[in-house]
Amino acid sequence: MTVARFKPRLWHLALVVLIGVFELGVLWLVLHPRVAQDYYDYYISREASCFPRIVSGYYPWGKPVSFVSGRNGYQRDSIRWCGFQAPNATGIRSFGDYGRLKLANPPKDRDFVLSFSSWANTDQNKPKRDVRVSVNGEDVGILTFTTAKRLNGRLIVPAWVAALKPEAMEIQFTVPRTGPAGTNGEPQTLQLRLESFLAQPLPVGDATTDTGAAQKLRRGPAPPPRVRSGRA
Amino acid sequence: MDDSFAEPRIAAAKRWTWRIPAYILLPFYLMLIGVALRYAVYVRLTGHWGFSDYLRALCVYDCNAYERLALNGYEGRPSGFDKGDANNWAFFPVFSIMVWALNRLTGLSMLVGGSILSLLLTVWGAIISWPLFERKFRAYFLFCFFLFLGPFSYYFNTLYTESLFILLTCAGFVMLRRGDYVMAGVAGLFLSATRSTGLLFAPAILIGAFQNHLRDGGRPLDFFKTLWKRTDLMLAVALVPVGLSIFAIYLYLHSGDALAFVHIQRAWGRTFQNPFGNLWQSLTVQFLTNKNYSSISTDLAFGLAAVAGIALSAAMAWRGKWDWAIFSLFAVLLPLSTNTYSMLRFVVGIAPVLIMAAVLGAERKWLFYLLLPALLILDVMLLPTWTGRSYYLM
Repeated sequence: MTVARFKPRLWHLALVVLIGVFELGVLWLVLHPRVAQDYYDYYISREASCFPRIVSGYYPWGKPVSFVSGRNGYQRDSIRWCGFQAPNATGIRSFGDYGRLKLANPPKDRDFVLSFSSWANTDQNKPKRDVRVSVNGEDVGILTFTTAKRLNGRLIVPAWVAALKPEAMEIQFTVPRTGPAGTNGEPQTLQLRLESFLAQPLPVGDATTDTGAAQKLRRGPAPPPRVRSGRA
Repeated sequence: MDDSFAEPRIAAAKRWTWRIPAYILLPFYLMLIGVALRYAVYVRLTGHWGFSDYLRALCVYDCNAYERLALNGYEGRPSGFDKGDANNWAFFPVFSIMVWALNRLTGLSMLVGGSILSLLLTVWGAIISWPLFERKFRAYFLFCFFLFLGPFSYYFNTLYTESLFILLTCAGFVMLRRGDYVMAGVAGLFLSATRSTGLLFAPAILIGAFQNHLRDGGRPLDFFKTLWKRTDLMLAVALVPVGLSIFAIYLYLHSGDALAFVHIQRAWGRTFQNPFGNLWQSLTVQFLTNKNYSSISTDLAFGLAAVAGIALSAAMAWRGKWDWAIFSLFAVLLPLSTNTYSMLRFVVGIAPVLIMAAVLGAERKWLFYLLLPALLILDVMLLPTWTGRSYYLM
């Protein structure tokens, strides 16, 4: 048997060069994404653990929201922003490292009381789990879960913290990691389940501002936030 | 010209013209039998006679995504699934474009037209694959039987890309076998626009060319010495990623991210990791973590599917089909490196794996005759499992 000799063809080469240039252009596009920061953080760098929903943040201040399906939070669902799954029979369940709520147009120059009913997928045989609550990036308290029972949290948000983002109050529940990443590359985290929520503006001058964040206002640099365990 | 010679030739040509070879008729017959059988089972189970209801029942999971893609194109900002981070950017465009075009040409709905298209593409893929069986008709029969009457026939009956991917893979390998590398590259172009694993056809072209060189009596070293002169091979390999690149450009214009089809996989819990670590985890998690020794979990089923795909790739290499082997092995390892979900479907969508399995299954007559009823029974039994949206078959 003899190997057939192949005659090189110029049009093959010309096409190869064209495709090469085309592929270099595509490579440039790959290396220079033109995306929003939240997309970049979640999908490309994977630094964020949730991708924000487009929500209005509409919230009638001072009114309770229930996240249990069939109640008003389910129908409105306008403040569930990032890191919480859709409302169901057990409320809204967090995934990833944190869950965020967004409440539009907070009343100005007012302190707030945040009240919520929550529970987590833990029990008394597991180590205690701390959930850090922050508002507009400032820590306002810590919820400590030691059992599977419901925890009713009640935290104060001073006016100066609310004033950091006057257009919308951003409330973040940062949950601890409980295990290494699985096959999906996502770390295992405590699952916080919010059943109901209330943000009540306090009358002017009526704040019981005893949180670490409030102390920062009065005394200057921020001290460590006071641990505030909810009652089970 | 001597008429005494010419007349028999003409007569023979006429006979040939009107005789459709068995390898063409077989997939058509099996396809029709399969559709009728599953429809009858559906009617028996549900009491519904509507054929479009039956097609709708078959259209589960990704079928809906391909249907929506054909109807509405690519979606905007991700908002799907529980985490609100999914949309249809993960789904490659060629199949849905074909469904859309069929809809425009015939007026058939996306569901009906897409289902018919999927069936016909599978028939076409089966016919095209015939040279790859090297005249082993029993193996070819088993392959066709598996496609149309086997436990995974659902993939080829509804809007999934498996039918198109198998057709293009078979076409590519037939071209490669014939030494028509540029056309093999064109098949690769469409493969990479159908599924990301289509990119793996590029190394298969090089390996196929090397095998052809050895088959023609060439020395291994000569192949590499003359490689720089093989402009047809260069063009063939260069053509393969073009399909995927066009999709990437579209996504860049649509979303700003050329690799959006990769990044959006986070919504499906997919991230690149050690494929063998993922395989080990899926094979052992039900025993070591969940202490389940009484049933087969989806993790285990997916792991076993990956093992079968790897084993059959090894069998291809053992039989000297290195182009098939490398393509198949990496077509298993690539999705496996993200996680094991849907491995059954991914393995069944690799044509050389099915062909090698059919060749092995048909080598012993008793096994061949055992497999036929077994496949048929599984096909019938798994229909409610499929329409019930079971993760096993996904």
